[in-house]
Amino acid sequence: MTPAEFLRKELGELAEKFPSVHIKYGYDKTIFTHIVEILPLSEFEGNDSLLEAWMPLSFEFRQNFREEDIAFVSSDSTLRVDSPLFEFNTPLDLNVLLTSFYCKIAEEDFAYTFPTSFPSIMNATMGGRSILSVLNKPEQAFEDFDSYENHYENAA
Amino acid sequence: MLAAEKLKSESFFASTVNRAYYSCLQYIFHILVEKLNYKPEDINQHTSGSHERSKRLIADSLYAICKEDKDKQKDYQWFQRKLPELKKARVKADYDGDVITLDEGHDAIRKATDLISLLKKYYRSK
Repeated sequence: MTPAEFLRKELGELAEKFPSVHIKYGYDKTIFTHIVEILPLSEFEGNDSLLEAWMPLSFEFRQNFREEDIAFVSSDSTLRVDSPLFEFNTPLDLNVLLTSFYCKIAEEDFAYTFPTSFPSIMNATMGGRSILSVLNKPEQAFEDFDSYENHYENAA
Repeated sequence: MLAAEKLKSESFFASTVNRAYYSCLQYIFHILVEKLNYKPEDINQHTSGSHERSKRLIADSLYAICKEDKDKQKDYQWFQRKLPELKKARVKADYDGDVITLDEGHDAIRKATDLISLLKKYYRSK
């Protein structure tokens, strides 16, 4: 079992015991140290049960992998993990969720195209003639006002 | 540590970080050999290097002392993250070619001083 596999298993169990704690794992190549970042800082510093849970893990890791080193840190550390190799109990980012939701709506809005033809109207007739010929006819002569109104009522 | 302070006053901040780190490391070597009776060859000949080896040995020793006491657990929690932070600062100062600031020099001295103080708390009387 590799160090990363060992930590994936052990940190997974730790994450189940502490579901409100976000755990990130990374490896710092500059100091050859496996880094476990525990968030938020208040939990890392104030949760004694959490401390009692990961302390033996740090010792056990060094016993199992004698050429490796490990450090447990939090957000205030210069060793914090910016690009985790894996993580547990990742918190929901409301901004990310809302952005992805409204982006989808925006995409549909931008993709919407107004219709340039009206098939139902194109096939309509008025006074026995197609609406297109009626609309294209420059003049429409009506005998009286009632005939005029009747034509447009029928078209509507 | 005196060398680190002198270098800081002369604005040699990269060297300040280097000296601060080695003052801490030398004190760890001292504890391992003089207090915990490790032989120098046990530390130096290890495949991962004397720095890494000594870091792990002192961390294991401190864990054994601190694991049963809630107050001491906080000391272990602090130590096991501050020593790698100091090492990272030293790697940056010695190898990265970045400009090291006064704040970084000061921070390295403070970390090294605090680490040595903590080690003295647990090992001076041994």
